[in-house]
Amino acid sequence: MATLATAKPIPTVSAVSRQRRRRPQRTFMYLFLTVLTLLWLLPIFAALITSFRTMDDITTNGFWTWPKTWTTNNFVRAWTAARVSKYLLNSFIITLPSLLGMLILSSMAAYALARFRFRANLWLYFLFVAGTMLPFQILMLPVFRLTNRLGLYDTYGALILIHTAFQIGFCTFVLRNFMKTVPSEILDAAEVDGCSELRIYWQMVLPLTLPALAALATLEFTWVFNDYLWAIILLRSDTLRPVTAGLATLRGQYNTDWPVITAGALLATIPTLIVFVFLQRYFIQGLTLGSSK
Amino acid sequence: MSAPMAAPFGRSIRTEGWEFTVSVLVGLGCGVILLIAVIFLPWWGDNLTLNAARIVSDNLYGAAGALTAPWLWLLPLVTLLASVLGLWGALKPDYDGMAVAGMALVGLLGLGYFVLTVGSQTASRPGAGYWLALLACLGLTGQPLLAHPRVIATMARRPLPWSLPKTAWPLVFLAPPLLLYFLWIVGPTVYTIYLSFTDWDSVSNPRYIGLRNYVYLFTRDRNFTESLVNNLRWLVVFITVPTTLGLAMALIFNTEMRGGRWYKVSFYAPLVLSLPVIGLIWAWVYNPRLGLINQFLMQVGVSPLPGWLGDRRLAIWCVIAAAVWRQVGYVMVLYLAGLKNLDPTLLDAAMVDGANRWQLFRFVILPLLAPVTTIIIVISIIDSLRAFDLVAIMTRGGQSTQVLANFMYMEAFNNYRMGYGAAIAVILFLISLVFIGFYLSRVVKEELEY
Repeated sequence: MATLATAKPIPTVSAVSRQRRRRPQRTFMYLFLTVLTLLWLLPIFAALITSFRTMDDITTNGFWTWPKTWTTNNFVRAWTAARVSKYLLNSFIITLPSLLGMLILSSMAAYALARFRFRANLWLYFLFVAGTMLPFQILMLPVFRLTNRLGLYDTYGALILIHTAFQIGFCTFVLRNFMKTVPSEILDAAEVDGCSELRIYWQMVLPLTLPALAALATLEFTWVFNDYLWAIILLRSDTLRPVTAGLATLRGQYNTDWPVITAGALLATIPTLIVFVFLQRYFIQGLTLGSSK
Repeated sequence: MSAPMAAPFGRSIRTEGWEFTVSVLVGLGCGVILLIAVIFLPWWGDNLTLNAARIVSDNLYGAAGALTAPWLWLLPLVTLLASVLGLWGALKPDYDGMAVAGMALVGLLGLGYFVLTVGSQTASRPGAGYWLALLACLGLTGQPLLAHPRVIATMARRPLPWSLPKTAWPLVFLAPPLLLYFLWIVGPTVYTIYLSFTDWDSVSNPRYIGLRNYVYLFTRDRNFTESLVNNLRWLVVFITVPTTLGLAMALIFNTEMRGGRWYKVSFYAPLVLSLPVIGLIWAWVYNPRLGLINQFLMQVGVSPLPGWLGDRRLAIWCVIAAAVWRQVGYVMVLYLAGLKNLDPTLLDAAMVDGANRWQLFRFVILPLLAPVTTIIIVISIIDSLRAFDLVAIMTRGGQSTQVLANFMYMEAFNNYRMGYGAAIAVILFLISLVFIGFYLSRVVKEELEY
């Protein structure tokens, strides 16, 4: 203890002198990072600038020139003529119910796995964990067939069901581990007092897992919203497509009109960007929740 | 009797006020209603023989006369806003008023939604779904009353009129999620394995042909070997480049620096872009005539200009580069979280012992981060095996960029060789099974330690 106490000041002193020596190094570091960041975001800037120009301007003057004309016409065309507005609406109609469905169902499963002891408990847990990493291709054909048989092919319901079902695995995994941290003594005490399991789940465990639910909801929102594969498999009508699949259609329609394509792509990003900006903390928490275990 | 019983439901556990309960209950109630509307309502309707789901969801969202255009837009937007407010409010006690306002708005909207949609369905007699939806709406509006602490307190004092044996409870909670999970995930996995031994064109019934799909894959299909090699390239790049770059970035940003937050955000910003968006943006960057890179190279005076996505040798690396661009931020976030969890006393101890920065990193930080690294590598491998969207958007599998996931999709849904596609899917599954098994064994070990 004594050695520690005497040894401690030494690195601090050296750290101060080191810091003084490193001032030019610091500015160099900032410069380096700024350049790196700008380069890193260059594709996004490129898309942003392109979307405000006209194709004629780019073809005649080249990409690396200051735009002669600034126009918002590309956004208007993408929004109305290319129907990005309708696609975005579809994305919401698919994402929000899936989100609620998966959170409700997986919190039920997680509660059962975290609270009760029964023989299949761990096996079911492993099953949920394994399911989170399946390649989608292994499910594609039977799910396609099943939705057809149920008369759900080419409806929002088909996508909502597969998203809900697929994400149950990951959500259960995260929520179960989170619920394990709730001391079982309070829950047992409530049970002794005559509280039913439903009430414990609904009024004690769920409110306590709210932080995890919020993080999961944020993360899953971006995942489901950004899905492309299921949308092209389970939907045929253009009017039902979410924005990811809609963008692919848009690319086919406006083959070489890059300003409209990039404008559409940027419009498609707005909802996830809003979620990201306002709920960044939960987004990061969600990302790390799944991997910290 | 009543005094101790009130404890579990009283303020002692819940730190927030009654608004909290309201927001949670209203929010979840609203969710249940939406869920019923979208998933279950069709099946209780009148015309079961017709494509009921289609009819109802068209009527709910799209058909002329069901909802006017501004309403269509308002509903999802306000619902999203309200639930964000509600979540925010529920997590921060000071904002409880906002949470209630938000959630109540959602509730009202839900009600308006059904009045409008169900009301417009005058063509056919209302089915059971109609009454169910109405009931749910009434329940939803009654929620604030029910959630009042006084009501809860009186309800808590009364024992339930029925009781289940303790062993039945896991089943009650597990049955709904498991039913969906087995129907949509576990069952299909097994069924695909069966399909891979058949010849199926999606119209007639699958015909059993034994191992012929696999034999053809491994002996005669060039596309298959190409996809396999490309997946391998993807995998090797994914476990090396983003991991080292992400770790380097995490180490830089882990130190206290001014404005570090903004640099950090810009590095993981690509993570929120959807893969089709990334594919489109990069396809534009790679554009051989007008794209950002070639226009730059032209000004510098390089000739001949590379064709990027049009070049058979370059294309796959271009696609992988776009994928890496997205992945680096993800890895960085995970490493940053790992670094934050490191025990600072260990670092101090190493400093005291006179370790220099490289030694500190190599012999203290890196070993301590090993569990995080393992998870990142597993995630990277799984992600590289799932690679589909970028290839589908950027090249459609042309220019020697085929990967297993896209190859399977094209065989099954463009060429209608479903059995053959299933065989490809099974091989993809078997490859990922190795890593799933590895990850699972870690989880199993962790669980058995308890």
